[in-house]
Amino acid sequence: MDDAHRAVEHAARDGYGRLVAWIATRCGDVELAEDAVADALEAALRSWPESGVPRNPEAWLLTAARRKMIDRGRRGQTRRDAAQRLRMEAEEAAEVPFRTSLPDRRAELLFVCAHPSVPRAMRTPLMLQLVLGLDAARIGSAMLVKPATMGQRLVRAKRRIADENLRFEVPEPSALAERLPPVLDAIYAAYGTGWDDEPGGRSTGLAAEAIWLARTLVARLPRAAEALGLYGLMLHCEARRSARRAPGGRFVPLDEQDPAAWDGTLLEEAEKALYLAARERTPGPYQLEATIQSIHADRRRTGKVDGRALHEAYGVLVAKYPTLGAWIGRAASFGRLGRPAEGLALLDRLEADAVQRHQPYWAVRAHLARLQRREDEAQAAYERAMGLTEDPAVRRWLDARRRAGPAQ
Amino acid sequence: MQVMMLILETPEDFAHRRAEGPAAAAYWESWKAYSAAVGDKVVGGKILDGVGTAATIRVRGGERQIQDGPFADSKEALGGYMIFEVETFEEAVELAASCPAAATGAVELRPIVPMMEG
Repeated sequence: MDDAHRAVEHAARDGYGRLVAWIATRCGDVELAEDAVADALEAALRSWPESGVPRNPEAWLLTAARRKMIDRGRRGQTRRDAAQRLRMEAEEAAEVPFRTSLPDRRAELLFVCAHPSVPRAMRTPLMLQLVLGLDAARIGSAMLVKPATMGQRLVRAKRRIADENLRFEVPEPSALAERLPPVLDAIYAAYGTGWDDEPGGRSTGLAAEAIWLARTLVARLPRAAEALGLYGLMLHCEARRSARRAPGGRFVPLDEQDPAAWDGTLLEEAEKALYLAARERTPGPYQLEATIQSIHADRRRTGKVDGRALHEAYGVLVAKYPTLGAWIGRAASFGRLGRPAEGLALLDRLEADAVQRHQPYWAVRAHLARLQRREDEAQAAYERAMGLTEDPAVRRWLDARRRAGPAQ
Repeated sequence: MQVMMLILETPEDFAHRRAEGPAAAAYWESWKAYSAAVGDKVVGGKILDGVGTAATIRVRGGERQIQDGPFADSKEALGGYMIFEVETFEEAVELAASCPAAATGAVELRPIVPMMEG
């Protein structure tokens, strides 16, 4: 690849979301903004190899995108008055990008994607497409939706944003408490798809993308404690990624990982985010989840897991934010204190429908039943967990545990 | 709705079926565990014997043609099928993702066309 192509690729990766965000916040139509940016990138691929890479590639792309939109407007291809509105804005915006880099409006884009009017299931896909430029096939793969279906849903969601005239803005502080959680949930959902990725391998997940989205948000809202909490949570998990596999691809569960193999830089960044979050004195579920990860990370320093601290942290979590995952974590924490019967009793109280095909529930159930010397139950639960596992390495690990039988 | 899952297995998968040892045991364990986990959603299914046992038949211009082996010549071959009874296609996709063959070969999902009554 020559320099010009590399420059286009770089500008696309780095500037895609910034450009789409800047244009979309001005015309209110994300489809139009995407088309314009795509046109501009195409134009760059044609012209940069001949004329050289411009001094300010982003400004070049913005100008090109704007011109393309006006062209489309003339040809009557644009929807409604978006192009007209943009043309008016264009004059005013004209001088901005040539001075410095483009003002960052990606946070506005994130808030539109997670607007209450956007169906919950479409918030994450929208963010991935509009802010990061991922295509429907990649998003569909990570979220187990057929690419064609995902494509149609994305188009519908974007039309809705335009039709309902959703406003591109970061909500006022008074509204933030309500509007921020859906944004965070959507980002975390993207991270969840990448959790089981093999390090350095055929990654279909979106962990890196999710962290990147969180970083974008934190840069804009440096005092939003829960945004910092989510950022810290994902960094903690990410720091352990490569430690989750031994040579040969064997799965290594958290407690058996070598803390020296965790990424110290990421851990430091995570702790810093948590420190900044704590200063705001507005606790929330993501900060609590991050605190739990931080307790695990402490093993790097102390050499052991503080089971009591974990148990208490999960206690606060289920008291305030009782999700299925929180209950399962709380149940598991009883096992660390040598009280598996209480953990099992807690699992028994969870709704049968919700846990029937929930792999972590069966894995924790198996573990606790074995500790409680209810081996038949442990065998059945290990088998159920295996049957619900997508990752063959985790399946092999569960099978080995199952065969190992109770500790003597 | 009913969705059929075509299970496309690799030659290694097929080899495990007749072998002894830990890998073969793990193969059967993973299938046993999977069948149990999705059991309440399954309304039918069969395991097919290896491709070495297959015959493909065509009749062209009244002439019978028979050849050894499966119709499609690919690395993965049909090793069996399951039929799910589900509310949505997406639900079947979720069930299929933890199928052991999804991680080695592939699984293909196809909605079953309902038969006309009468």
